[in-house]
Amino acid sequence: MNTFTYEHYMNLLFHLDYCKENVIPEISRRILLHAISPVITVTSTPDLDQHISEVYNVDSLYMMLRYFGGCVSDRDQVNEHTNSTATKHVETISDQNTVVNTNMSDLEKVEPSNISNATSHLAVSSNTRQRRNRSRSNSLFQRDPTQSQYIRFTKPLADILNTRDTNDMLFDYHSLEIFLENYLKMIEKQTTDKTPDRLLKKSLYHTFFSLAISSTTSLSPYESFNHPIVSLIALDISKGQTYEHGRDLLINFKNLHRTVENFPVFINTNDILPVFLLCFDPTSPEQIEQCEALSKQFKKQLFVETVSLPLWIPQNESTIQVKLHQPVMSSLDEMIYFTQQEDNTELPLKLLDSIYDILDELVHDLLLPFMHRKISFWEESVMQPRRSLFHGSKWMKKFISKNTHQQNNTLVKDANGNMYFASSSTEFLLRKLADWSMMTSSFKNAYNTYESLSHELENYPKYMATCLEWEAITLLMGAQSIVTVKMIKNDIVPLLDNALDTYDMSSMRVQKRDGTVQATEPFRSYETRCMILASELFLSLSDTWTSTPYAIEYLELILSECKLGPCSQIMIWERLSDCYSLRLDPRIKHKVENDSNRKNKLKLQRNEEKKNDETSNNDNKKVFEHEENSNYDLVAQGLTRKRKAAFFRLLAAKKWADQKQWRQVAWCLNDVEDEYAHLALATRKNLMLYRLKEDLTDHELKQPETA
Amino acid sequence: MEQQIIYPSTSDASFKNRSTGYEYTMGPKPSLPDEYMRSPLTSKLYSESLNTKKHEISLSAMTFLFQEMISQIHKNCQSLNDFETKLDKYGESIGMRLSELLNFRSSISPGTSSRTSTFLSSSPVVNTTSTNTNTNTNTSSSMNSQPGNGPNRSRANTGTSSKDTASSVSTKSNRTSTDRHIHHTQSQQAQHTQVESLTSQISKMRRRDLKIIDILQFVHGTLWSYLFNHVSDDLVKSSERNNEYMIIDNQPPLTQFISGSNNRISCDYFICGVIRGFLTNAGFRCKVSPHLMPKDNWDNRTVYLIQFDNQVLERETIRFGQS
Amino acid sequence: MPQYFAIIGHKGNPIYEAEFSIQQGNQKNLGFSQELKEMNPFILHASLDIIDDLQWQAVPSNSQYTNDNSSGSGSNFSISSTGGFLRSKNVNNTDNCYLGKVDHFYGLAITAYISYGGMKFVMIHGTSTSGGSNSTNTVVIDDNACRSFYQEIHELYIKTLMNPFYKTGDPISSPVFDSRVRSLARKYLNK
Repeated sequence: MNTFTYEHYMNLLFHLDYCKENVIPEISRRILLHAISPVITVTSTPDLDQHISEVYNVDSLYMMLRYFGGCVSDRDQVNEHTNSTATKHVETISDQNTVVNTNMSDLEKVEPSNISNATSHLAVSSNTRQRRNRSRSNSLFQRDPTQSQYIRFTKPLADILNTRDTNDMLFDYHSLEIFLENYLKMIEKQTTDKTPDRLLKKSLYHTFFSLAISSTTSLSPYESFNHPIVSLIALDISKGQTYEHGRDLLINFKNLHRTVENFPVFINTNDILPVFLLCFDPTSPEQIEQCEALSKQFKKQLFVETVSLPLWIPQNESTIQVKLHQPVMSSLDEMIYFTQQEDNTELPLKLLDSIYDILDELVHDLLLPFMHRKISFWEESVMQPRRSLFHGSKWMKKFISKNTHQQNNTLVKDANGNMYFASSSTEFLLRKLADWSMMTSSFKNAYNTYESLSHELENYPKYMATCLEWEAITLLMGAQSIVTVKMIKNDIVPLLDNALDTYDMSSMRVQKRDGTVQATEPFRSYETRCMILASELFLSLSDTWTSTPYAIEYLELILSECKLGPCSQIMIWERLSDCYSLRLDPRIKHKVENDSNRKNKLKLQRNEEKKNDETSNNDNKKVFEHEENSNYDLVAQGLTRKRKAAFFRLLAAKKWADQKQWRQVAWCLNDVEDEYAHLALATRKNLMLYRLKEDLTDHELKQPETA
Repeated sequence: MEQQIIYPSTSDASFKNRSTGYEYTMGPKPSLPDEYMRSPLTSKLYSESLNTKKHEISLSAMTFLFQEMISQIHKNCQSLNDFETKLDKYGESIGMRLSELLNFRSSISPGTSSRTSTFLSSSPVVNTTSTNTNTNTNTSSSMNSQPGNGPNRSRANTGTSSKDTASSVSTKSNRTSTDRHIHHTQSQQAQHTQVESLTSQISKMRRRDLKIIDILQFVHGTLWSYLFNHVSDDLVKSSERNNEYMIIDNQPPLTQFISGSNNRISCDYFICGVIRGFLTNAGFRCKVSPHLMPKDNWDNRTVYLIQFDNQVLERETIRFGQS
Repeated sequence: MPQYFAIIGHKGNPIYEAEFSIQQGNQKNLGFSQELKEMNPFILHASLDIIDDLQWQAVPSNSQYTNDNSSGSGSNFSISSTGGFLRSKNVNNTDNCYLGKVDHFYGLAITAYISYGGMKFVMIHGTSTSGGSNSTNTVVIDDNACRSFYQEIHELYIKTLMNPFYKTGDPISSPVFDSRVRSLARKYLNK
């Protein structure tokens, strides 16, 4: 069987054969790293887009590249193929080469892939082929999640800016709800009541979670995670596009702030790395030559690097085509779009490999070095001077920073009358420094920067709030193994609460000023994001006994304060149940697990016996029951919250029933069955559980399904 | 089911048609609109005070009853093991009841009754005189106040102690018979309802015992005093296995007249059952077995070996640290 | 203020349940809403884990209720399992039978009492508004009255045990018991 990967988990609905796998508790860290991973905008020319849609039946280059977001080294789109060939036989001779290649890399996966460490990449020569093979790993099982580099793709910057609205929220509650509804419909279609649901439910929640914490299209003025870092500018060599085309596109990009109306003050195109992407036909020697010449010319005259993609691979009937799956993370609108219609994009396997190769090159040779360069530049030019100036004296710091603020107020008013820090202001540069450190997984650095920045933002609550939020998150992300009760109590929780209060305050202020409810919502979405993110990270800590109460607290706050749609709310209810089932004392963890194993075995045994001879065997059953009763665990008594978990699952079932999501109802009822099996509560006709079961059977009778 | 024959927790047929109690298949009943007007129902069982009334019963009566029990089991059992298990079960249900009753009685404030007796508390202030005299005459020295009693304490009062056992066992059968006559005395019972509650005399409930050593002290002291009118002769912790404890009785009164194949059949499994029921019900799962270990002049000296379930020890480690 | 009261046996099964509600003149019965009636046994069942936890603590304390009364349901913050903080309401009282308020669920408060034989006496206290999950104001518990109520029930329970026809763990179907419990509820809870 093939290994279970990050992508399998996040898209579990499309890989139902993995339903019985387990997922590591640290999954949320990976999702977060993915959610804040560098954004790459894809700009292409109409000619190129048309060419692509003719050959590959994909609307544009962006629509094609978006499939390749995610963990670069996982090469998840190729996985599909290796999976299918593992069961089938090796197909055609012409493609055998590639197949052998991927098999080889499968073998090499066993080796520790420490080479993908970002810093060592700087030193490694650009022998991409070798690196490609070695860094091909499974990000889900990597010990250190920071070793996998994730990326996200988005539309050209100009498109994003044109569709942007000042009151944009991080995510839109309504769209999230629509997405969920669509996704639930897909689940309903592809599963049955008997599908093992535990992992699928978790996967659904994490999909929901990832959409709430990330966006590739909304540009927040207060943080820079979604701001593009690389701008890919594509040219089609086969259509004869030349240096001039490239130069014009680059100039266009650089001049965006002049040409686009209301160009946001907090975006600086100089902080975005332009990279040319040359699409050529590998069978044509002239085109290869042309590519080489162009890339030299771009470098010499425009100081811009180039990557070349052999996009126009000749195809015939024997070319192996791979059906692509949706990327794990994408903008909410795109997700909704693709849940509404069947997506059948296929690309040749060879092309997939080539794309991954150039992405490897792009990320490791261009993107990461660029980020590190910028980080150390900002560190030296912005961070260091302050540190040496104030010598860590708080009083001096306050005094001086007050003065400097009076002297040159760095806030700039934009066309809508909102006051923002300009992209060149110290405050925003520091914020960027922190965010980028976060993206490159240097959490300590990020923490220090957030911490020092937060002292200077006291008068700017909107900036302050997200700064505090991320300060807390760096703590949760960075010190994963050493987060202690004390640290949670003294550092993390106060920071989070402070952040939430500040969000609250700023949204109240806005409300006072504008008097509309709509204007407050951006902060509400930040607030929601903060709570959902914090709760998920708490759950990823190893001592869940201490951490779950905090997670529960934030989830309950979300329920009471955020305007989530009904399905989104039920997702939170279900998550509450998960929290409670995770709440067990570390000292009895092994015991509870053994116990549940034993119980499952007993259950299996009993079921088998039932099958074997349904009429007699009453005695045996009694023996089993007796054994269970007299052996109930004294030690674990009170050190778990299983019954609480069951109750919340039951509540969720009721709420699902109100929403007519019968598959979910059935799953929830399956989950609670064990807990209530021996109780009169389950069979009493005037209670919730029995009523739900009745409603469910009623519904199933009404709609006889072939399943 | 047997419900048709007798309501297990009612034992009072007279209510059958007038009012129904809790029905577990139906769930809770809501308050009735006219509930206020009605006075609460009464029965002998619930009107009786939980306070101790000492009726001394002759040792011979008690031992005859016990012997009849033994012979019944003996008739119906197939193996030695079966015999012991059955006897143990008899004891268990008594032990389970005692764990509630004795702890509750120990909660009664010393102010309202003399501290010398845990279970001989005086009746409430408004109580009838007849009960008062009853309790007063029976005030005797209690063992609970002298927990330090060593194993070599003189055993002069063996006779009375076994009578006490008799009272505890036989009260139940008494009740059963009286319960059937309840409807005759209902009008009198109505007055009684105002006074029978002991709760008013309790200012603080006795703490539930959470540690092995605490609950064993209670067994050694209070339970033994209740059953035999003296504390047990010793309470020892095994030096070899840390889940084993021993309660020692130099002269078990209940089985003193049973002789014969005393090495093979032990009728002390009855007391083992009481101990086991008491401990298990309070959350200390264990096994108890009797061992005849004569010493000095005590030919019938019996050691009750209590082996706690490992989970009990593990829980104690988790909850209270290494003990 | 309606209440839902239950005695829970060792296996988490109720052996007795009752619902109390107040009657004022010819006003309608102010009981639980239908929704809550369907849910109450489950809410109570969900609290059993916390009760189990407190049951084995030297000083049963639920530290969350000393500082936090905010929304939500039973997020139980007792950090240490060995004793908790000495700030609990019932500190100077060594009584560890009455556990006080152990849990809450959207405006409902849950109190508990443990008998010496490990029987759990649990009660859900509703609000007088009888609102569903949207009422946020939590009920105030009169600890003294509540404790006395539980102690009286404990006594009644022991009397039930003294009945040779009653087996530990069976449902208590006696109408006398039921009627006694209800009159106690009137005396202590719904004055």
